[in-house]
Amino acid sequence: MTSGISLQIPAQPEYLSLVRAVIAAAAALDPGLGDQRIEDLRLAVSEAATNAIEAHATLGSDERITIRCDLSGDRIEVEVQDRARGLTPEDLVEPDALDAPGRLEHEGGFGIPLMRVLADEMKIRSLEHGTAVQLVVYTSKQSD
Amino acid sequence: MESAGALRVEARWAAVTSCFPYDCGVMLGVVVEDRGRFTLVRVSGEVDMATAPTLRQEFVRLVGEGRVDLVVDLAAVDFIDSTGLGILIGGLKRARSQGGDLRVCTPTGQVAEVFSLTGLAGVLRPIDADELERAGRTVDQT
Repeated sequence: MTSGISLQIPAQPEYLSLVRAVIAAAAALDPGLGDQRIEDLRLAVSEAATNAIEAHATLGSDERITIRCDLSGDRIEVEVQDRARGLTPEDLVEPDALDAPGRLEHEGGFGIPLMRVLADEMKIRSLEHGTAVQLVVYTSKQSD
Repeated sequence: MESAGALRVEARWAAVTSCFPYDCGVMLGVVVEDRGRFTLVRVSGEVDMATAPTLRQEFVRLVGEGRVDLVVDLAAVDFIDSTGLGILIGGLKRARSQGGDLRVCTPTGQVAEVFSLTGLAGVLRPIDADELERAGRTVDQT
């Protein structure tokens, strides 16, 4: 059985903490997910939402961002959907690994590699009006 | 004496929830203290896209005032994201460009985890409490 929640937020940074709180609380409903994995998911989703907010700001869009969270037994799936040009597959071609020499000369660009490291799966879909980033964390049943 | 060397204490509080109909307590606290040759920047709360600009402004202000040996105390930071990491790196580069440095103390929990994941732990030099304490005492005696 699948159960889940959906959250729509204004594309404003002030709502990031709300997103993190909701995702952490939803993930905590799954007894198979430890505190560390909840923390991983919380940060990964926050990064995706941050990217979405930035994308909306770039376009001057005042539309809302949608965050869906599904708990389906052996995994938790979160999808962050923007209505701007969010991430594209090209954005996911990370030029430097996080630990590459000189990587820290750049102040930005940590978000996508962090999402990759923190989530067990990360997928991106281009929509007609926007982008959806899907983050999956396996619960203990699947990951062990 | 925890704050014996504090010649000046300044606080900046960024209330970012004023537009919310409820109080979820999301704030960034920045308290600046002089500890000898170091300027201690004690950060508390969550450092993300909403609150990071406040911290950036503090680094810009401090370095602009010639306070280039910065120590950022992260013990009371509950959450930091990629935006917050970028602010720390920006502060580090700003301080070093003026002959100083930005060092960190007591990252714990989620902050330590993110430092480790990103390799930042190897870039931001840590400072231990003893060294900070000694620097503060030096000033007291002058």
